[in-house]
Amino acid sequence: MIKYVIVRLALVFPTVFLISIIVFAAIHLVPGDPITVMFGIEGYYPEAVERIKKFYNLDKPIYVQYVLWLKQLASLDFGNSIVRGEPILPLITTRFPRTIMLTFGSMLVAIAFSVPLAMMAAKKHNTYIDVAISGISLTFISMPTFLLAVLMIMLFGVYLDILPVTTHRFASGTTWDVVKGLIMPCLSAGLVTSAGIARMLRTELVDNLHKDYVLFARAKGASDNRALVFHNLRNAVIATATLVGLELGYLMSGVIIIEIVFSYPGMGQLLLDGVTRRDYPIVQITVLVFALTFVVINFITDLLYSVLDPRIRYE
Amino acid sequence: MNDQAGPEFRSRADTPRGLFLRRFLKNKKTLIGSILVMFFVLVAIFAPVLAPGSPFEINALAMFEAPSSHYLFGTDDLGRDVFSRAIYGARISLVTAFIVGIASGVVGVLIGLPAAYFGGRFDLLVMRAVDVAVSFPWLLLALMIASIIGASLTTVIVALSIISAPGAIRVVRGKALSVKEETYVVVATAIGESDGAIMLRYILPNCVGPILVQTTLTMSLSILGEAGISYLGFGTQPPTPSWGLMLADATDYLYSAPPTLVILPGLLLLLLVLGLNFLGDGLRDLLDPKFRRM
Repeated sequence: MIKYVIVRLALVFPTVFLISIIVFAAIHLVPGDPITVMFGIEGYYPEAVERIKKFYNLDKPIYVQYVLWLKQLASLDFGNSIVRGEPILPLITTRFPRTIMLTFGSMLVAIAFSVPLAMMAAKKHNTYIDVAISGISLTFISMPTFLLAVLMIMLFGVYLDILPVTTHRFASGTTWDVVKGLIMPCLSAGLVTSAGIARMLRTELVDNLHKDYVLFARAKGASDNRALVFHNLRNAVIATATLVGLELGYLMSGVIIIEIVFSYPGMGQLLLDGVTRRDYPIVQITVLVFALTFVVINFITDLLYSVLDPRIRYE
Repeated sequence: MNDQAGPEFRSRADTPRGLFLRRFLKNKKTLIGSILVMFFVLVAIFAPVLAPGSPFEINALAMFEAPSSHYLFGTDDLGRDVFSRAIYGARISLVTAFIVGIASGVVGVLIGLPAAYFGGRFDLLVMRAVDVAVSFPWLLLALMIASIIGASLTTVIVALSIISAPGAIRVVRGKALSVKEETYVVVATAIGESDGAIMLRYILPNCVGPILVQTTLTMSLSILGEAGISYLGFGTQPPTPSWGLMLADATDYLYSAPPTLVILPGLLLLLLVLGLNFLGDGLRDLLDPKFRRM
């Protein structure tokens, strides 16, 4: 097990290195430079421009900038936002937990909906119930996250007026306000994700129905439901876990859009704001944090996967 | 593909292509899917004929009008006809889908085929890069590209092509790896065919099925992608009618916009993507024997 963890960890580093290079290089391919963006007209105050360039190390060769940047990151000094003029670290530390909360909330919704639906579809496979569940899943897979969000806002926020349409008062609200604000964002991102998971899980469950270990469980007297939950589901979950990693990539993209729809003060909003205003440091750090979170979660999924299925470790 | 598996009655006139066409029409998924997609292709082509008005014409006296006989689905924040804009919106979605589908398919063949055929270090490098790219959240890449080359429809198409290429490379490589071991490829090598000829004449034609399935699914994802990026303001720019942009307008004026401003573009988006997903699913059932029983 320890050997497997080390091997997997060795694979994480090149990925992280590659991501850091992509993030760093991409921003430096941008045509407009941040000083011009700040002052509007190029060279308005030549000395000031020079001084600011020096302050942000923009006058050094690009590879030196990269090394300096890495050094800075390693000491958890994320620098200042160019446009806002405030340090980035506090921005990240207040917003990151909110985005994580939204992501996990959505994943929870996704699992809460997909597992029972997939089990029901598998139990009644090839009946109208199965076809209906398949149809609903395919519809949700075909639906962009933000469309579902806007539809829910119109229904629950505008017409029924029972849930808040934005979450921008997040920081000052009570716990109940926060929970109420999270319902629609989590539902819209989670339902779309649940459809993909449900489809995969249902296919696995149906495939397994005639496998020896399920037939054996039935033969020794386990009920249909017991065979489904304790013998079939356990194995189907393993195969589905690979998909969850991919779904997570989609979920994160979905969460960024959801944050915009609901004016949710999280990382996605910070990122989009940075892109719009050409705030390089903000874009770099937010993309990096998103990417690293993604790598870490995938790594954990892989480890869980190997705990669930010991065969993986010996491959 | 293994055609003997089907229980269908085969007359002497059955060519493989005729058989495929019959299966295609008999399969509910491919039938529904292709009808939906054809519908939208026709709507996009005949948009000027179908649209009752101009998608651009601003009418300051008719902002946020409810559906009426004149404005079938109401008007938006600038008094533009929602119905006409939604019809023209099909063009943006389909153009994006086709270009991205073809671009990622071509890249998939150009990189995936040699990777599988030659193997070795090149293959290893490609697969490592694909592994990283496939798992990366697509919107982050799209936003980074948008911040580099500026927001436009071209940006969206470039971004989505880059995002979907790794998937195509993986599919082509996977299929080519198995085809490479077939007897006819071994024979072709033995009689001295060149590497290029073997790849193009023997391996590529046998990879068409998976490529087709992948392309269809890529198209559905790129339509969702275009709508999402445009919704955020980094894609198609106003006043061009795009479904994502229309939905963004509706979100901005939640309390004054007529519900049709959400429902119409949303429904069309949903139906087109659903059609492509049905088509892709159905094609996979038909072309991949592993999935045929489902």
